[in-house]
Amino acid sequence: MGKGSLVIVLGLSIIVAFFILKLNANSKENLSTTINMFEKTQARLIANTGVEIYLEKLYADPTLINTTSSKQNLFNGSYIVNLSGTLPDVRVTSTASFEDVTHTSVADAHLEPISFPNMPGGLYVSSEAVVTAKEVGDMNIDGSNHNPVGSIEGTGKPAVWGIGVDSDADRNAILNALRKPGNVKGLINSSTGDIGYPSVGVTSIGVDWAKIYQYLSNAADQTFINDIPNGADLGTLANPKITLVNADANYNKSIMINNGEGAGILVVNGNVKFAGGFIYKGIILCYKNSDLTYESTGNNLVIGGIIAAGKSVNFKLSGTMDVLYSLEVINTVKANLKSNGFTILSWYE
Amino acid sequence: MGVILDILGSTFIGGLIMFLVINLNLFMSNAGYSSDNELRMQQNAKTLAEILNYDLRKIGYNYNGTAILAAEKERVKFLGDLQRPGEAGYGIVDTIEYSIKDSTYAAETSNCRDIILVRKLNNQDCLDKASLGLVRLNFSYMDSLSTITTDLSKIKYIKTELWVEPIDPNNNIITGKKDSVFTYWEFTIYPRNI
Repeated sequence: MGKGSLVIVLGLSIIVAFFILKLNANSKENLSTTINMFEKTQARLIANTGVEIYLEKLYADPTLINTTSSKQNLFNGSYIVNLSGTLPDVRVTSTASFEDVTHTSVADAHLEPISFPNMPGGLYVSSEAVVTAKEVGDMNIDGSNHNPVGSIEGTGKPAVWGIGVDSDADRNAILNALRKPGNVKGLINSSTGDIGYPSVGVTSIGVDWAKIYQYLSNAADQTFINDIPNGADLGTLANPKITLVNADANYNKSIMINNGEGAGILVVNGNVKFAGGFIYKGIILCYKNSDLTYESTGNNLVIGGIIAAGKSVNFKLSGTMDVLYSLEVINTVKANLKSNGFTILSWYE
Repeated sequence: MGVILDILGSTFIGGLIMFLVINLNLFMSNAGYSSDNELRMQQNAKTLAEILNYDLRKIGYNYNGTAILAAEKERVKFLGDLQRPGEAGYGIVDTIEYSIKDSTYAAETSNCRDIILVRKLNNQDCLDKASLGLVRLNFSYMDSLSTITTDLSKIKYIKTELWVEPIDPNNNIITGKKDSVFTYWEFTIYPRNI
């Protein structure tokens, strides 16, 4: 009887053990199905991340074109990226491994240049209303075409308006208030291209300056808060920079710009005061999404053009502010500016 | 008398043990079958998800223009190159269409609810009437703000929902009814080329 019981118990135990092993095998297989999906997803994500990382690296260092990276570890996996092509076009092939799964992503990208609207005037005022219009004329604005050192190029053509505005109302307000009409030279007849003074024209170019501001902010080489620090490198014509100066939320004074020299695109977000000794070659965009105050004291020189965009623009001028339009400077800045980053044309994943 | 009682008692106990063994065997067979069935269901769901995932990520690849040609609840048709650079066929834009056929096309399975997922590559059915236990399929299309849209040119995200059951549902040994297990698989894809 004792032996019989032992045989029965052992027999049942073996059957139950086999059964449990079978269920366990199914459970493990089920888990591996889910894990396999995770591994494939992870490998794909690592490969895609490799593409993005190396596009950024290529943007910062164009000599990486036509090279292959070493093995890079990421998220417990790894990837290798190959950059091939001729800039501004590049093909990025990223091969990632995670556990035993390999995934390859291929992206074609194009390096986009910075785009900026043409300058319609030496000074372009984009606003619903120009306040204190007579102050504008205290600047020396010349829409004739100048060379990079500030001399009139040939006959000064092609010229633009000395001051460009959005509406007849603004144009008339400025013309009627000008104290020194001879200070605003430039195009006086858009059909003939004649140059003279006072040069104030309606040149609404239909640009959303808020978008342009945002675009340039995203592409800026450097950003300063409230003021530009002494000694800051604002670029040269050979190596121009996009400089963004932002007023912080609690700053109730004007952004002060003085004693410096630079080239490129200077974006000032907030009320601005050019306080003397400032020389800039390129485009200055003074933007504020509410009423903008534009102030100038001392001696300042801009070769290129200025855009003042705000709900209204209030000018306060004293001293000398020379604004000399220069197509050559603007074109040189655009040509030498860094690109705006890569645009993805297609992505295989 | 004592011998007879011993024989009767041992027969009763032996019968009881035999009954337990048979019952245990039946239970184990049933549980094993259910387990196999659920495993296969899970694998089928993953296979379906992989097939859809692979193709939907290629929407618009090497094609300029509105790549999605049809966007319906149970049907999607789109253009895209399925081959990557270096593979045969690269550069030729393919037309891919997903739709379903009702359960009458899945006569080989005992599940009366399963439907057929149809994948047409350049107008040729290439899944060959595989059922894989799919019982319901639902596509949703969203724009860049994740709002449901029917405008083909604005579609940026595609949400896919799959309901999968075993292709041969098991009769439950206790209730005698078919097991009502199913798996639900949902994924949202942002095709990078649209």
